[in-house]
Amino acid sequence: MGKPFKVKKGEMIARLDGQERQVLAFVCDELSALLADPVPDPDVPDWARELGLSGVGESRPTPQDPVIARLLPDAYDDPERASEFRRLTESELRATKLAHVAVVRAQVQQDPIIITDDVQAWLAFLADARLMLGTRLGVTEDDELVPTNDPEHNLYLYLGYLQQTLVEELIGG
Amino acid sequence: MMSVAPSELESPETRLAPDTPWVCLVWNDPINLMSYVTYVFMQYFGYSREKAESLMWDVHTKGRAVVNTGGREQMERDATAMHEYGLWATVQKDD
Repeated sequence: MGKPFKVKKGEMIARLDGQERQVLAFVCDELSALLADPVPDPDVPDWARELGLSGVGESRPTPQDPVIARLLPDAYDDPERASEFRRLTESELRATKLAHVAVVRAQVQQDPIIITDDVQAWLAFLADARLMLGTRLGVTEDDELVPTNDPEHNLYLYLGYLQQTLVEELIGG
Repeated sequence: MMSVAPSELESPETRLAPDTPWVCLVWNDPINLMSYVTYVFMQYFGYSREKAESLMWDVHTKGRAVVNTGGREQMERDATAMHEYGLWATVQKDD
């Protein structure tokens, strides 16, 4: 099996077969659904929501879902400061992450997949996808990184392989 | 350049409200690959590979590392950028 990412004539190319593309599209869709904003507050007028002001005035506690809490972590130890910061920044962070996923989702349908200008989106997507799966799987640092019978665990390993090879191609092994 | 006596420069107010630096901390997690964390420190902060790797090892072995120091707003921007990359970062006053 050749490397999944390769610099060729100054372009970063992703070399993925049909099944790999399908799997990545599936992961993209799952991550998008997860990152989609929660049910909007009916008290917030549409114009304010469009301006990204949807969170103004309400407190934003740490998300209950551990996967979301890991994707959108608290920026302060202090719960009050964390909530305040989340109120001001969480929507934008969600939007940035969703934009990364959208870039990858569109590109896995192309042939060839030239990701030169979108390397940051790919890296962020791979990191977020691994956080989603790894948190769900309860991964620890002592886990052995070998394939098992669990397809989700194997998908987690595969995404790690993609992340590793892309980073190596960018900064050398 | 004009020279001013220290007593005139350091009024009690400025000494009571110093420009306390804030720090951006990155925390260890069992998911992100070490090579990726190194890459993020190089790419976002513009650190040399050596410095980025040393910070990554601090995160990995000590559980966390100060990755930048400065004003609060900048530290918040840095933490948000880390979150965009999937790293877990927090902001706090440098005690």
